[in-house]
Amino acid sequence: MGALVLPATFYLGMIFVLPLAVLIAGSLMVSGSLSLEGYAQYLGDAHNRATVWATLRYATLTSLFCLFLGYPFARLMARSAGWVQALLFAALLLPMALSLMVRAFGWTILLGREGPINQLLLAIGLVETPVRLLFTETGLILGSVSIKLPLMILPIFVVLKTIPEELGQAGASLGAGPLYRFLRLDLPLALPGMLAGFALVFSQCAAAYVLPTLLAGSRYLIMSKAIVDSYLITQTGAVGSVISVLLLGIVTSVIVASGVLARQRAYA
Amino acid sequence: MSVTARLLGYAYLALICMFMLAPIAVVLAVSFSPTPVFDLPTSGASLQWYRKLPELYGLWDSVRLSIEVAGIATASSLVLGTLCALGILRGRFPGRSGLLVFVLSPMMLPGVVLGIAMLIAFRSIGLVDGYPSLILAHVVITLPYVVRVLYAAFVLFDFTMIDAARSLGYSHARALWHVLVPNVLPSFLTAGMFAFLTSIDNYALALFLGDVRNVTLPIQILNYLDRASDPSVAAIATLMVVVTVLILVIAERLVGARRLVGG
Repeated sequence: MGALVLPATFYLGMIFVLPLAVLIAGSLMVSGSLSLEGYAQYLGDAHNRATVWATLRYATLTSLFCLFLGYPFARLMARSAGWVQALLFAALLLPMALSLMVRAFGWTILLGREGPINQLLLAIGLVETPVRLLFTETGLILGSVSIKLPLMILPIFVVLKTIPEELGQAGASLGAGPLYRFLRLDLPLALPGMLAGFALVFSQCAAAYVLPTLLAGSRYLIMSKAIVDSYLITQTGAVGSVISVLLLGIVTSVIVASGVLARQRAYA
Repeated sequence: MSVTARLLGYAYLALICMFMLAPIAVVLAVSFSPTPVFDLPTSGASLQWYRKLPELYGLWDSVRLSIEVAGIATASSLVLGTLCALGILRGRFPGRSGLLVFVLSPMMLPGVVLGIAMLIAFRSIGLVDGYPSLILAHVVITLPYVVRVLYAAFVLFDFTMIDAARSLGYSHARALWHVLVPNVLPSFLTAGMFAFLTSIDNYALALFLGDVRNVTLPIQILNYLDRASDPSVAAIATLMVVVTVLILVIAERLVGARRLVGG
């Protein structure tokens, strides 16, 4: 039976591992010899460091907002009646199954100068003149949080669903207040789901190209855009390999770290 | 829980649902706009942007290309992935859990990085045609979905049922066909759906591997948005919403909603 894994493993070896290995090797080769010169040069430039920083900032902020908005949603959803839960499932599943292009395009309309958000803000008198939302970091994060939220909610919901409701009641009957129950019961139990959701949203945002391009504009510089530009526009492939490997490193460390943390909690 | 707390809870759930569904709603509304700007149709609806779709340059070619690539990639990864999931679960060799993580990893890694790496590798062996490049690459990103769903299905399957069927006189092949296949068929369909949707929606690989004659649908939509012409993009997007809803409804009928999220 073990031999059944060979076709897929061989395939991934050729089309996935080998290309990545060539990319990494390429980023370490400077004029024929092995060196970290490419990385030193890239990170030596303040402009490039700002690009890396913008990427980390965007991915971190979006993941944190998703976590804060998503946890209460998952918690309420886990305690909802059957038909409400089915409805909420549909509300999560439809955007997740729908093309990212459609949702990103929708946000370009929502954030526009004459868009629904500005009309709402004007109508309730919060602002006097339309605010600039499209092509700002605020607009980008607003749209990204809306689009990535299901990815945070589902893993948290899945773990919360397995916790019996009686656990909270037992805690309450023993005199634990709401805050204590949240900190000592729900939070530790939900942590693996929260870490999984965080890793998922972070890794997708750090690598996002379409959302930053459409919502923040071509002047907003982040790593994925720098990678695409280096290959398709400026033809500076060597720099592109360096940024690619850096991005790969960032995403892999966040995924591995969240996995390790989740496992530690599970054994604690 | 008090009534106020319960109502506040429902209000929060409704608000967040609106937040997640707003971009979809606005696209649907704009597609019926009577004016050539991205306006909400407050003064009457119009179907003019739908009538303009056949004139849009390259739309039909992109739709066909995306469906072809997704179809071939999904079929290939269903074969590779089913065997692989079975091998990891039933095989007796060290490092099986590591292999599972490895096979699932393309799902989490940055698409633009995979795209670049494959572009360099394919060019270096002289593969410059966009069509085979896209298919080869899409198998890599659809395979994890197949393996994840089918591995979960095989974990739940009781393999002693096959021995039972054989002891009752079935050949090994007949036992697999009559016992294993009907049991995992819903998961097989779910896996296929996830793989297909993943491939159809992918832009990162096509950004690098596509060429002028092979423009997938997401890239074509980006091109239309770049030219920012008129709400006909909203009409395309609305049709995509309709197709997605249809796929979900059919999938729900076939396998049930729980399985779609539980995967």
